[in-house]
Amino acid sequence: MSSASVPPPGSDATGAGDPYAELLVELDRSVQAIREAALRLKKAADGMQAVERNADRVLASTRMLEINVSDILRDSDGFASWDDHRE
Amino acid sequence: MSRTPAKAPAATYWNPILETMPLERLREVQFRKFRRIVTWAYENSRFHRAHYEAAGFEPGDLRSLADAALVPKVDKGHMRGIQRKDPFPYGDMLCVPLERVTEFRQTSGTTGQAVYQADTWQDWEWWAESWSYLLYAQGYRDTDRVFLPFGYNIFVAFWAAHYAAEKMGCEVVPGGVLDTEARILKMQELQTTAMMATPTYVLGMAETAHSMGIDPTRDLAVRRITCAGEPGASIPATKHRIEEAWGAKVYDHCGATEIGAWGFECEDQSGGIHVNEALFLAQVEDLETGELIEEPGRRGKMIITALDRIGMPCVRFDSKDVVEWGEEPCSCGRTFRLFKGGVVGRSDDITKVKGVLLAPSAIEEVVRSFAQLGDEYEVEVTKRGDLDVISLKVEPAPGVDLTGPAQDDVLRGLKDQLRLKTNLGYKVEVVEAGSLPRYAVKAQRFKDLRKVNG
Repeated sequence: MSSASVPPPGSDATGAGDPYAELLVELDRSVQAIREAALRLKKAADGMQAVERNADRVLASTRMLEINVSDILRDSDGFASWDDHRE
Repeated sequence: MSRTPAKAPAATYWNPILETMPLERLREVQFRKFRRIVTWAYENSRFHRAHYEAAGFEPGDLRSLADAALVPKVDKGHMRGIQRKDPFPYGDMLCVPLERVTEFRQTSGTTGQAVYQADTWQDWEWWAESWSYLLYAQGYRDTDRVFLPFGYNIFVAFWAAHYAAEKMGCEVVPGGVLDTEARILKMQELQTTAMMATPTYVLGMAETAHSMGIDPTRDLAVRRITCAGEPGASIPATKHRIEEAWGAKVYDHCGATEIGAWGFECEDQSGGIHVNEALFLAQVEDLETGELIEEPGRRGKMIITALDRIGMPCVRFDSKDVVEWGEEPCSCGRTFRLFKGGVVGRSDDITKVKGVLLAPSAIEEVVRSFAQLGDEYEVEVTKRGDLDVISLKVEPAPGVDLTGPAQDDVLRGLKDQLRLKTNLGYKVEVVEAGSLPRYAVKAQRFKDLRKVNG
């Protein structure tokens, strides 16, 4: 892959440290809290479809938050939103 | 968002962190995600495991992005070969239990038997996410009232655009089963500000509007049009025609059922489309040698991976799209690389005529650069004895009298430009206005009849 070293005009990618580091960590903390809460909700629903299915939707949306935030910070061992065993 | 760095305002990018990420870091994120989707496919799909094992590859072989080329490619032929088998009807490329599939779509079958595509709800969210990146980059905001004049059927078309526009807070008007006239009237009634369709359909709508006594530039409020499904919006002459007809900015978008919404033109329109490198890994291969092309200025075909699509993963998919890397970073500030001129053709469309490689889009660029000519044209390649013959039919533009010396002038200019742009000679005929076929969605204006005629 090509790796041009000069950031494009208007970019914040100056190479002078990561201006988003602190923000990313804080956002990720909230994303993971939502995910854990949605998984707990789903488990507690005990088969009640009105809760399970809506919790599934929350988890799918949370996965989009992970794509935009958490995946920048770290790898995970899987990525199905409904999988409660993944890291 | 007060702690978002001031130079990359959240108002400019859907995700300023990923869209302006330094290239080195972006590649690192892409590699981690690439390794993850390859491992996912290997562990969850019998097809992928067998495909990789047959090539002597396993995910542990991936140590850097340079190793991506070790992963065997997949093409439509593979997908056609496994579908209608278990798990029915998708076959063993599926990586999730069937009960996780919530969406069925299929390709239009333009290049052969239609391919089925399964998506989970998570994938469908991902489709909308990828469309959100592109619509935001094209200036769509929650103040837009967006009209979607497409068929809402088994083809993915603008379905995900609908969900993305909703997510972004736009007001979405579905123009589903309405005919073209009814759609135009509804757009006029609601004063919709944006729309999305194929370039062919957008041009056809303008023609229909005029036949109804409606001038889109004066009587409608559309100021932003996103085109997809055909290369027209990246062909300068076609883009210009659409912008003139609608009084709107026209943006290109590239995507495919099997891949996702992978590319977009941004508001700066610096002559290319961005690859959404947060969600996709695109590679360009030389058409003949298969060598990876990293530098600008050399055309090749795009091999692409959707990094987060899990139901039926798209890993190293041979898109057949012909592209070339752009030379300069875009002035919009995104570090996502550009394909210069968008998708310039398809490797299975580019054909040898009289020993010369011909891309149909080059003919469109020439024809539509003549203001005296209408939007429609038709090209037929036939064989007379051992010789290839290219016949081109064009129509006069509405209200233009193309007879006598005026016709001679246009024909002369057209033939000269075609020879200049394609290095080929053409038999050109001006036919009666309105006599060439009109297409509702994707046009088929280029017909190679040499094989048909034996």
